[in-house]
Amino acid sequence: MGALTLARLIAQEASRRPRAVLATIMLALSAGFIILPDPGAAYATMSVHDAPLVYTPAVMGVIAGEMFVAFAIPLVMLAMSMLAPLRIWRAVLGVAGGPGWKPALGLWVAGFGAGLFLLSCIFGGALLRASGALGASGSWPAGLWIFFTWSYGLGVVGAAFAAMLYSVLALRLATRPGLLMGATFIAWLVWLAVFGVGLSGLVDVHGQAFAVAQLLPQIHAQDLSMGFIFSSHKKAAIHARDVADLISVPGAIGFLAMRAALVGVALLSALALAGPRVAPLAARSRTWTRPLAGFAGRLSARFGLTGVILGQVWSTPLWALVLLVAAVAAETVKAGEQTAVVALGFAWGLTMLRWPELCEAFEQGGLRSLVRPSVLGPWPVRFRLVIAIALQMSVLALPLAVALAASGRVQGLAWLATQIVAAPLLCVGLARLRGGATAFSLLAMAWWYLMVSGNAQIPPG
Amino acid sequence: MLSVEKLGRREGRLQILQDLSFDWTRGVLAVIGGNGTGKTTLLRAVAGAARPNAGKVLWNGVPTSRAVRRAGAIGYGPQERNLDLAITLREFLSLCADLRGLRGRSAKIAAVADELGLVKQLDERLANLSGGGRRKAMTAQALLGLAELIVLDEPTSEVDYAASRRFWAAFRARGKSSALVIATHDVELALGAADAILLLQRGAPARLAPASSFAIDELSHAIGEG
Repeated sequence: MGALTLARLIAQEASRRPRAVLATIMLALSAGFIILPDPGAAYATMSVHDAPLVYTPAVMGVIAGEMFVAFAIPLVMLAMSMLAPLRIWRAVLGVAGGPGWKPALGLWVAGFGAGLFLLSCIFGGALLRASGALGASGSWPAGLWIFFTWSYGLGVVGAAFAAMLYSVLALRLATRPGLLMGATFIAWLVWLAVFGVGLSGLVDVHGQAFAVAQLLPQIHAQDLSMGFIFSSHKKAAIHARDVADLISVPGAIGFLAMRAALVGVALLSALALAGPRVAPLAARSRTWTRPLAGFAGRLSARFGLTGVILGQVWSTPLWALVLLVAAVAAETVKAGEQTAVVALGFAWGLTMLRWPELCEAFEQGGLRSLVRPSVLGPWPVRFRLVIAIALQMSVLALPLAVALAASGRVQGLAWLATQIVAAPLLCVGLARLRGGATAFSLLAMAWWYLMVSGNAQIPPG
Repeated sequence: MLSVEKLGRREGRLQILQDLSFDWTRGVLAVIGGNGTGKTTLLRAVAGAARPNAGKVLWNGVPTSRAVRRAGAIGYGPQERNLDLAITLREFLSLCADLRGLRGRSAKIAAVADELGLVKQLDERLANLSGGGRRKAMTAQALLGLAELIVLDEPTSEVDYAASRRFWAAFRARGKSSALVIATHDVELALGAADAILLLQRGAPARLAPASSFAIDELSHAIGEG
């Protein structure tokens, strides 16, 4: 069947690109390190009644599994963009002319596999970091099994829904990376909201609906915090009840059946949303259809290299700026509060996430071809690139700068300026290396996570 | 039968195709015209890859965008050759055959490779093929099986002269049982192999006539005008 052939060929293609596989492993390991707290630290990422839980293998499994569910969408999208660049694959799928469900199914299988691979890497990262907790549970093999069942029993749903999003969005928007990124971002926010609501409903509760209640007797629907936003504070630790693996906990069979059903729903949704057929790569319109874009195009044509980069940024739909402004507005109104930090993280994440595309342009030779023929040598051109990128970042960060200035937060402004200087240097520096875009993606994502999680806070003064 | 009825396509402010109508049953129809005259746009609509702004494109009474879903109905080789993948030509053709619902893929791949002279390249990775090699791969996948309608967008650009001649001979042979619509700038080869020519010119109505009624100078001049 064509779908399985496609999934197999994508895996084969990925295996022939060891750097991409390595980058994916690095991505997952770093995500694992970020997601899971140091077991020796005075905080945890899972708390009940505003108190962190002491690590047990089961608690570790719940954290790893549910954190992966929360973050699977951006992780899988990023990993697949490295392992199987859809823009190229779409050139194949577009001419194949089969019904749309076949490539969608193939991509779903590939995305699901990548999700489970990422989960495995995160699992491995967690083991490296917190293996002591398994030993402390009494039996290392038993602890490992408990950790495994909870992680994979919960995490499988994240992989399934991330694969659904990947198979649908990447097929339709492979030629429009800006829009793809925006749609992914918005879908992820919606997913987080649904996930939060779903979790509080599931975890109830009175010990009837879900096995987690066996693990966490103190649990209460309103009090559970997965902690990826508000966890980095010192709290008094409490002990979770020692429980076995997910499979043998009362009520777990029904719970696992429900997870399996959700995986099926994700698969069926992907097939239903796949549409009738993947069209070949659309020929670019010869005329600007939007007056604003046309104006930007004519304007950027007048400014050489700076104009080229400006054109790239401008070609991204305006969603980025709109969300940025919304996030900054929240930051301005709620300055100093935790939600403001989150808003700030999202806002800056939007800015940061634009740069991997720029690096991709470098790596594929788009901008390198501008650098090489320069009679002055590459450095003047690189210098101009740094200036141009810094200028663009300044423009994107302008609302943020205004908000910080209005609230008199001088240190915040200095913090912003540092990033505006550092990011272009990093971008241009890494772009010289093969695979630099991947490294930049990893850094951007790690930084974004630190911002969103509140672990890297804007200086208060 | 392919029926194009009052086909129109607009890109922004530019009207690329307008009120284009013709029928084609079997044989090789070469679409010739300068850059920007709408050859690719026409072929995308004929292959069911794009919907026209106005008019209809039907294959045996069914819109081509729907007919393409039927196994073996339409084969399309677009202009793009963005195939920088590590899979081999054989895997690529196998995937295309699978996704198109064709059975007996090994035999079909062997047949098309023999037809186009690609046997030695079957186990080469696409990423290692030259530009012309990738173009051949695109053409080969469109010719897989016995598609009723074969649509090819400049299949011989970047392809050397000897291979181009072989390709056109293969197209002519396919034309005995299938309908082929081929956009090309190879005026000389098209005149020798095509049954009819559809000439597209900016600012002038399209002209469809037997290939024998065109002179090479006339076509070269039309292409030169763009």
